Amino acid sequence: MIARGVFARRSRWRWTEVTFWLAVVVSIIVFPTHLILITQLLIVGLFAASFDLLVGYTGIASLGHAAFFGIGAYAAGILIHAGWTEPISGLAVAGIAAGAFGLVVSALVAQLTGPALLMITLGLNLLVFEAAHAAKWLTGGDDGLAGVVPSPVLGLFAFDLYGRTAVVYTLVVVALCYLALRRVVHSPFGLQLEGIRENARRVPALGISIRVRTMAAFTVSAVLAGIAGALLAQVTQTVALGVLGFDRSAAVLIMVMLGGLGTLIGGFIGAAVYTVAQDRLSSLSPVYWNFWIGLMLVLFVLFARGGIVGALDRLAAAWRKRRTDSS
Amino acid sequence: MATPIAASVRIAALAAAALLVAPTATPAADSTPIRIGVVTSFSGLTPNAGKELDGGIAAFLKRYGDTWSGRKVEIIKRDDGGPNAEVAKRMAQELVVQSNVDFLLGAAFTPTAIAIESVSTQAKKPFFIVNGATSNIMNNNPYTSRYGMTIAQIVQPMSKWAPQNGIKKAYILVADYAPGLESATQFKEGFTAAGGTIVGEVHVPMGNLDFSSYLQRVKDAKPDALYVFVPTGQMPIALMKGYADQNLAKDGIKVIGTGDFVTEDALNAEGDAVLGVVTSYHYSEAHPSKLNDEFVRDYTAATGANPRPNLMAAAAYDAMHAIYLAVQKTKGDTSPDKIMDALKGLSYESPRGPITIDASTRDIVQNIYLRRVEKKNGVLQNVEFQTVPMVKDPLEK
Amino acid sequence: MIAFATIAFAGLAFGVVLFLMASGLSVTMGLMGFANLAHATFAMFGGYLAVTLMNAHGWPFLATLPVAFVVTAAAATVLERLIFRRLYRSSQLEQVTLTIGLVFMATAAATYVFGSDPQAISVPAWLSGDLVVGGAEINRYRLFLVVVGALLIVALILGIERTTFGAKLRAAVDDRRATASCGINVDRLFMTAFFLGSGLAGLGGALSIPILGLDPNFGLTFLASILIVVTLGGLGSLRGTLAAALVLGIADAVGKYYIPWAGAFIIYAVTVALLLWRPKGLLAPR
Repeated sequence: MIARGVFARRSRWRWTEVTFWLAVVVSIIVFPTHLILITQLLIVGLFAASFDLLVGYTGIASLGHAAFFGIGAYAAGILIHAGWTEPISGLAVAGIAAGAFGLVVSALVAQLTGPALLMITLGLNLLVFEAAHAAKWLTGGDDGLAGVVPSPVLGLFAFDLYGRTAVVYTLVVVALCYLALRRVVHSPFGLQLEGIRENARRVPALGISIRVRTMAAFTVSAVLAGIAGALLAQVTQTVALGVLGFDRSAAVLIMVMLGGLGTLIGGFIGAAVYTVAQDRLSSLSPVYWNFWIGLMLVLFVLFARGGIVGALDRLAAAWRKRRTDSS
Repeated sequence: MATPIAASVRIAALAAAALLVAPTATPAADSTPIRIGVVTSFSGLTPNAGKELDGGIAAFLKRYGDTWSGRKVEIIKRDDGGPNAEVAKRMAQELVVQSNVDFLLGAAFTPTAIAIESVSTQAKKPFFIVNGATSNIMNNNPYTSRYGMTIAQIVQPMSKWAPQNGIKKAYILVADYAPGLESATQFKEGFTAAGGTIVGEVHVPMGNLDFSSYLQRVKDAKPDALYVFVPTGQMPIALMKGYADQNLAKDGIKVIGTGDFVTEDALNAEGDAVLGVVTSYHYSEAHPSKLNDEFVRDYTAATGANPRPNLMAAAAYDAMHAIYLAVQKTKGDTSPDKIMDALKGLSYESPRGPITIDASTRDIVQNIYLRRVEKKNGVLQNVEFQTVPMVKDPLEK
Repeated sequence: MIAFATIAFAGLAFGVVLFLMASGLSVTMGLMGFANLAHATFAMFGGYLAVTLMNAHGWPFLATLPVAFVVTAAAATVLERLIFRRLYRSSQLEQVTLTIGLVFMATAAATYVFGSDPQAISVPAWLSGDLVVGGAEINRYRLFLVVVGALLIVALILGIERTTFGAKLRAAVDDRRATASCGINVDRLFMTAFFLGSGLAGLGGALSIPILGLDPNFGLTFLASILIVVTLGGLGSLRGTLAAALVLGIADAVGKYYIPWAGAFIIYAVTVALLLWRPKGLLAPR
């Protein structure tokens, strides 16, 4: 009984989550000329949330998560070039491809921690990048894959210039992935992962294999990152080497830190803030916007520990406290 | 009172007033502004690309004003931060659906050019490629035209010139990325067809800055010349430094290539190491023409010559010029099909010399020059010494 | 054989530059566990300092080197006192985020101040060109680098292994709490180590310009190489860092000469393999 109560409490919807998803739906209606930005923001958000499962919940720091995102994107792109243009099955294939690679990587790194883990994941990311660069016949090399046009979703909705189909398609896929992620982290398996993060030495005493749990978390995370990459390939209809870039691995880390580690929704919020800030700043100051992004990161780490979700939770708690104090 | 003189003064005054008022009093086909959306790299790997583009556009607006056929010209700039296809695509889409631009202009890399092309095709907005040098990327994109160059176009003249000028054995050193590899293929083909021999070839990873091992291989192979293609920035500086340090010149090894590693924005930093390098290319800051002198002057006034004008500045100027001429032909009408019709076969003078936009391929036809790096008034310049007139992209299908 | 010697020597010189840029980071990461991604940016700072002094103020090359060391060290220490110190107890991910933010700021600031063009300096005549030794051509500047590097390395190793400061530092790397409980001011110790480490990076940045050049992206371009060297070397181990820097420098140069088609694969593959073999560093016990 107690256990069930714990899970129920943990899996209750937090107000930040509800607000975020409502905000997404509202902005789709209110800003019909910004659908492309909203679409890419959801995709990057899913990528960040998949990373959060790894870092925030399991405590595995990685500097190479873009490898899985990129493999998903290339899998989706190559599939379409080969003539298989149905988008939903394309997502599945991309998820499997990225997941398979995730499984292999996780077997290599499951025992590692600290800087060695960071550097090996970084090194593998760079190796995958070099491989995609070299395999021009498959990936198009630096020129990338162009004209990756999926057939209409469900045979009905073609991808249009304004991004209407893209945004609805992406919203549905990403929301389903989010529900799946929520189930994972709020399941007993999710608790075990947090146990590994908090105290890796004690978990085996509970009769749980760290290695198996870590590998499973890594693989699930890779599958979702791959689906995010495939979505990007399908809605932008191009795949370029940038999907595998090390800067993408660094950006996803920044987004999760901005949003709030170990909160899932933090990944989405961080991705939204980062992408919108980048979009606005780069149109205000095309040359020097990096300065302002950098300043934002520095101030965040110094003054908003726990990221945006943490700060919001603190604000909400303070507000509730004031209300209870005054009543 | 109504003397003939007074009457004629009054008529003259009226006429003058009419003339002065005319531009606003008689609206052209449309009085909304002409909006030009620019997408290129203002940050990331090649931030100079954005600055060059900016300067080229500024130089053009300075000369021709910012009101064309009665319509104000608005430039809206977006940064793609490097070869990021999906960012470039999003920026182009936003320019179309949010800012409602009439034209797209820019790109600094082939992948971003291709991404912007897809938006141009879907939205029917004419796109003017400033840089993106792969052949045949416009075939299925009827609203795109190119103002830079293609790799094959600039390599072929060099591959023919070299064997005629005492270079029988060449070693190829190119950066391991699409333009570098295409350049190597093109050079090999032309050079061997003209009787030359390739004695070795190496593809250097992008961003590599220590060339000593590669140059040692070159030295071992004893070629007459080293054919180079690396992107501007630190790579050519490091390469030419190694060339000087390891004294390849002493072994009689010349450096040849296309102008991509001695673009004007990089020459000052590259220093005397590049003196004597022979390249084939379409634009030099030192091109001797009145228009180019004026272009360089206007560009310098706008940017302080930091960076110095290079091919991208010239291509941006020419793309703006093409829009200007097309809008003049259509009398201010910016509907895409009329503009594309007006562009086809357009011939005009560029700071680089005469250019034509091919009527069927929408690709640029231009002079390619053979140049040698020399000091001119104390400044390193690519001094042109031979002209191959009106070269078409040889790979164009 | 002669070709091999020439190549290996060039790689050795590159390894020395890597070591100078990485050693400070190794010590600070080993001591405080502080993941400072802005370390290569300190090197960039030293580089721009040297370029400005030479090109705008006409200083001779050698005179700029001590200035690059001292000013970079001082500036970095101010940063450490003001910002980094507050994060010693934070997670490594927060440290990474903060310092990558600093890298972004520095890159944009350098573009603003110095422009995006690559910078170059000319070294004195006695340092340019080749020296022929028994048929092998040894580049004078690289020889200079190796000599300067060797002197610094000997000084560093003696300083760490033979002085009281070094003993305290080694103690603190092993066990910070126990060291502090012996009445040693670990905070002061760390500040000194940080000063020296950043100074070395600044010096490394200045020394690297003649072979690597300098542009505003320097702080990012060399970040990966430096992190790889630090990790391979084992945190806090000076000898390990030296070994890793030289192995990577030489492997890179020799690899490029004998298997040029392998490109960037070699360095990443070697790194991943070595780390899987010895996750705690080359010289550390498994």
